[in-house]
Amino acid sequence: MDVPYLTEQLVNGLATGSIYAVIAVGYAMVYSILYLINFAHGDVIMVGAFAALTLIGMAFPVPAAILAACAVGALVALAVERIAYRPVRYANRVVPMISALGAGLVLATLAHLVWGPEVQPFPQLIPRGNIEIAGIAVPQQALIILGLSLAIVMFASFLLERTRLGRATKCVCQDIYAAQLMGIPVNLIIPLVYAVGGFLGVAGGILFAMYFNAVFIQMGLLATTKAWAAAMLGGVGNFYGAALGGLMLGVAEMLAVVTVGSAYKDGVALVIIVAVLLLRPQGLFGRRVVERS
Amino acid sequence: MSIPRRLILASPAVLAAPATIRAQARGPIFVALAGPMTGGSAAFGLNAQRGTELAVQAINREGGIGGQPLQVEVFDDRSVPRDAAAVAQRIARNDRFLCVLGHVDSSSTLAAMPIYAEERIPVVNASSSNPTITEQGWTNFVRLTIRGDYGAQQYSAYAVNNLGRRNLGIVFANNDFGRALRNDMVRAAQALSARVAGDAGFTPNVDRDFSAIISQFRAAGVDVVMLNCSYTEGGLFAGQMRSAGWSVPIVGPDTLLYDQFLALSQGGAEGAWIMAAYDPYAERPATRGFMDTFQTRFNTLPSQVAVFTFDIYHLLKRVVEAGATRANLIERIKATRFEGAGGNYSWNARGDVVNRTFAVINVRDGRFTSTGLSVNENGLERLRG
Repeated sequence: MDVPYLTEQLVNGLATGSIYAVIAVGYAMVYSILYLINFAHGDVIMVGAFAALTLIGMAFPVPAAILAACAVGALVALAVERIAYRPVRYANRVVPMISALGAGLVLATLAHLVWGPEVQPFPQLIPRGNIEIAGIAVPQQALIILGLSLAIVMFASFLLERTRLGRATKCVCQDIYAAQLMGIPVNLIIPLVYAVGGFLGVAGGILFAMYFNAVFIQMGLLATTKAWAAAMLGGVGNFYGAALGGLMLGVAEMLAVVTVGSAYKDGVALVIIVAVLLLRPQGLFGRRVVERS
Repeated sequence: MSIPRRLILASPAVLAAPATIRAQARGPIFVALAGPMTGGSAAFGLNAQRGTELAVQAINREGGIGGQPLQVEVFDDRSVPRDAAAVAQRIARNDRFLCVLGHVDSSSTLAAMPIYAEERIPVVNASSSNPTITEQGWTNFVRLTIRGDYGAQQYSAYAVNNLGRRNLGIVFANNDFGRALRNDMVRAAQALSARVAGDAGFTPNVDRDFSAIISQFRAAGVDVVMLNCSYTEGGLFAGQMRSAGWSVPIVGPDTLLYDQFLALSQGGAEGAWIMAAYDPYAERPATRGFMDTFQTRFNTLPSQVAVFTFDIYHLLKRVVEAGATRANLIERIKATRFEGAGGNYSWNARGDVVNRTFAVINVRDGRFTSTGLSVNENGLERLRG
């Protein structure tokens, strides 16, 4: 196997992985606060991606359509939080998880009714073709996707580290009751985190749609499983772990294709994750989380 | 989630309306339509339902089958074999169905058939091409599409003999349909002295990223891509090939013959060759009539599932009006020669269609075009004992 071929494959893997990373970050944000596996996250993303497609189809300028679709994602995430999670926030941890699954199913069914079952083509917004870097042809689209994804992850990290919202989020994350007693508006912060998660998730979903040329109902479930795997690999509840986990999952899938064949892609990727978790149950970059009673 | 949903198709008015009073007194003839109505393959079910709607409307407008209105009940298997078996059990519990029309994909049909066989329920199938289905000795089964092994030989022969390609890159959906095509294609390549330069499976309805396969094929010197999958993944694959700036001919089965293939490929399907079990652009009145009606009613082209489903109802009308009953339905169909929207059909004892050849369709200027070409079969003799 030669260097240009492996480089091309590595860029493919990183591009796919960076999309997983963006989706996983939104997912990890919610988990880090509420220890809730947000099974509806993928379906929120799917609805946002369809919204983008519809808005672009209605001849909205592309940047406006994408921003509006991300806003739709934030609104849907807010609604899911209000309807499906808040009423059961303090119940046993299994309850919100089931409620999340239910919310995801409802969103998928509604999307099926509105947009139909067909996979729909997504307009090509990124120029195609190859760029030559040090004599190696690299797919331009993959590089742009990679760059955009990293920018989104950095923006999310800025939100979390440098803003009042980020600080408040960390307080809620550490102790929800103490945060409330210290005057942090928990019922504002939690929905905001959901909204930001939905917003970023849809941004990732649109990248996903642009890279694969398609939007479809099942992309919700796909995004959830990939994001979950990435978040587990990186360390559940760890923001940077989720981002790195996403990149690594993309590269692992690519390696599986190169070595044993594409039919075993998901199998090999999951074996790698299981192996990592056996050796480091907290994930590659996670801290051991002490179970709260 | 595994509970199969039973839906009553369209409105009752559409399905049974213009029957005569005498007919209503005799009660309707029920057919069970089984396929994926929700889930990742729901588009196939949608086509089956649309073919059904047009056929049932036409038949009931003309007084039904032998004076009895035709009524269809829809069962959803979500293209999941486990659900298909559950659907089969539900249908088997009910003896009012003349027959089952289904299932859509080969894996679901294979899962459901043992149950129908045991209960002796006739199964008339539109689109499951896996060769093993008619090799099991089931006497209650007949299908309209051409067997996959014959298909795989034809697609390979077209790529090698007609297009002069030597390095096949085989892409296949990792299910009963795609795997069977892939295995027969590897055999056919050997008989044709071609090389399998690329061999890549993917999980249907899950994998949408083919960039790694495309890079692999390009590096391996693949000079023709053999797409053994549905139009969804086929279209995405062709589109991603184009995104990657890689252009070699594409050859595939009629599961690609649907306008979504063109839409999803976003130009990448240009020049693709499709070997179709029926020719939708044939200058036959029955075909033209169906294509026009479908286009007018649904504002899209029918897929193969829609055409064959539509033909099955007319086939049923023909044999039942000639005296067939549930007990001898399959036997009577096998003895029939039938001309429908999808061409002429006749069957052998196993229930496979015989004397049908593939129509070679080419994508030109973003449209499917009938070429009138035929496959050069040189070298395939070795595969036929």
